[in-house]
Amino acid sequence: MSTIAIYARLVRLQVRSQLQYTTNFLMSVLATFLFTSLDLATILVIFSNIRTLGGWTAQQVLLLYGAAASSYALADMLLGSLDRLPQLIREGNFDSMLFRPRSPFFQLLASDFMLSRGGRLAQSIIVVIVICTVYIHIAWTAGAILVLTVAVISGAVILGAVWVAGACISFWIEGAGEFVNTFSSGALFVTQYPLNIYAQWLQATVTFIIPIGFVIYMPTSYLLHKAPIFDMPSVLRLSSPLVAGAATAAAAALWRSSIRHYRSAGG
Amino acid sequence: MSIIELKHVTRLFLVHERKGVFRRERRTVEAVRDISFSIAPGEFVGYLGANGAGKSTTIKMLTGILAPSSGEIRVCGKDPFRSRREIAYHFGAMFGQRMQLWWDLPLIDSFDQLHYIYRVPDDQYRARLAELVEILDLSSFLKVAVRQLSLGQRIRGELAAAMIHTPAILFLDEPTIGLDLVAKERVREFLTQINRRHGITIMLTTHDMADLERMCSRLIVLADGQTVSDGPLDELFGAYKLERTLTVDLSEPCESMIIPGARSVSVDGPRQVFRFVAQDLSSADLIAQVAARAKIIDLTLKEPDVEDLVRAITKAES
Repeated sequence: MSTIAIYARLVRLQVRSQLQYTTNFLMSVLATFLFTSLDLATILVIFSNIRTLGGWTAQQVLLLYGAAASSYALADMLLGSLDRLPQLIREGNFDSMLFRPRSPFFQLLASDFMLSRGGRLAQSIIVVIVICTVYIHIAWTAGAILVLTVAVISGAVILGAVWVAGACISFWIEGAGEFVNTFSSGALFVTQYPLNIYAQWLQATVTFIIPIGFVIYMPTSYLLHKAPIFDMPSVLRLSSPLVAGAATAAAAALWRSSIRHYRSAGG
Repeated sequence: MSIIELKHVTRLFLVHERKGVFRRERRTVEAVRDISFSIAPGEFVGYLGANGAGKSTTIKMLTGILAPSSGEIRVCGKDPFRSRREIAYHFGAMFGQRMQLWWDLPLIDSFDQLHYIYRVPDDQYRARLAELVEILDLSSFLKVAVRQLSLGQRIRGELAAAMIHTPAILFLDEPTIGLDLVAKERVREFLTQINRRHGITIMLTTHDMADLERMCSRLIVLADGQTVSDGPLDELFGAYKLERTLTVDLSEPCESMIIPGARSVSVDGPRQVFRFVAQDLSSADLIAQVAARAKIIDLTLKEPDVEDLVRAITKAES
């Protein structure tokens, strides 16, 4: 059985066991639902005081939020187990993933799959579809669907790469768990508002250094015919799959060198 | 032909020490220093040492988790750190407090999963599982989620998990810690059986004297990262006379007693502590002699433990 098939099998087993606790499962779906609703409410509160934010209307920001949240939820569903890494390292349990004859990365990803994270993905996708159809009247052409789908998937890959890079820190610095968590929640916050409202240095950082700007902002601003930031060529904003590829390669290299550096807990 | 071989293995760690508020000093610590030994297939080795003596570091190097700073390691003829994935098929490991089973899944799901991870052919897996379920008596809780198991059941599950792929070597760190007497016996019986029947090489660390006496044929003792003793268990036990400890509470404070064959270790009000070697003086004799001089209210007798053994060997060899 290939490593991917083993991963899929373990995910299936966990889903099955989580579905046995119906109340528990429904509660966590409800919790993420409330979480998403609060985020939406925050945006609406902001727009009850202003008309536009950086030239974006409420509906457009909601689209940005929905698409960014979809990327985030997709990445979180697949890579959520990364959150456990600092604890696994501290308690020495990461060892057992190293002495099995399979990729420790996939073992880690498969170690804590939570179906309830899928609930968030579904909600975010619904937000995007409703906003696009009812408020922005985006024509659902094949092109628009393709741009949005590719954007959400590439966005998830970029976020994932950033999280993996962040998680690698716990191999080098003990007790870096807080830092890693700040990384993932910070990522969501930055991506869900138009980048052009931020200071220049922050825009530059999230565009060229940690390419979170490419997660959703770039393709969405293309779709809504906004002026590109940094006067970049308009089409470059559709390059997020390429950025995703590069970020993945960089994160993979960092992961491999971190594993070699790993020194395990408990002397 | 040895299955495990270490030649002049040293492992350094860089530690940061806080000196004052802003100053930090980097210092290298030798966790393991110039260790050499080899283990033949089928041996049952107790690997002992005080906390921080370098036991875990050695096991981590043998399992390919850590690379040695210098020296050479061979497990089944290969360098474990370089060929980590390959070597993984040849050993099983159980590190006492650390989990290998999937917490939320039924025990049987963990076994199934491991059989795919280790690429065990289906028919071989079924035969192996049936055997393990029988000797470890797992059948009553195979379908129970791991988090609902008692410690003893979980440890038995962990042992089976480490054996699914029929490894040639088993590394065990404190396999009986926290178990009750019955569970301990069951684990010991299992390990002895697989060692004798299948010729599996076992290397174990423990704080339990009975683990050593019942299972090991050879002891390797570490102190401060160096091997201080390596030899057959019987020889080591014969060479070092280990002391028992008798603590008595007397009805009233009393002067230190002089009893031939025993030495008085401490006098604290009405409480006195004696150490003595079983071959020189029986405990009944010692108690009778103390009772002849003062009224005993309470007493406890402690057998020598692994710490005493390690201490005695370390003291004698350094």
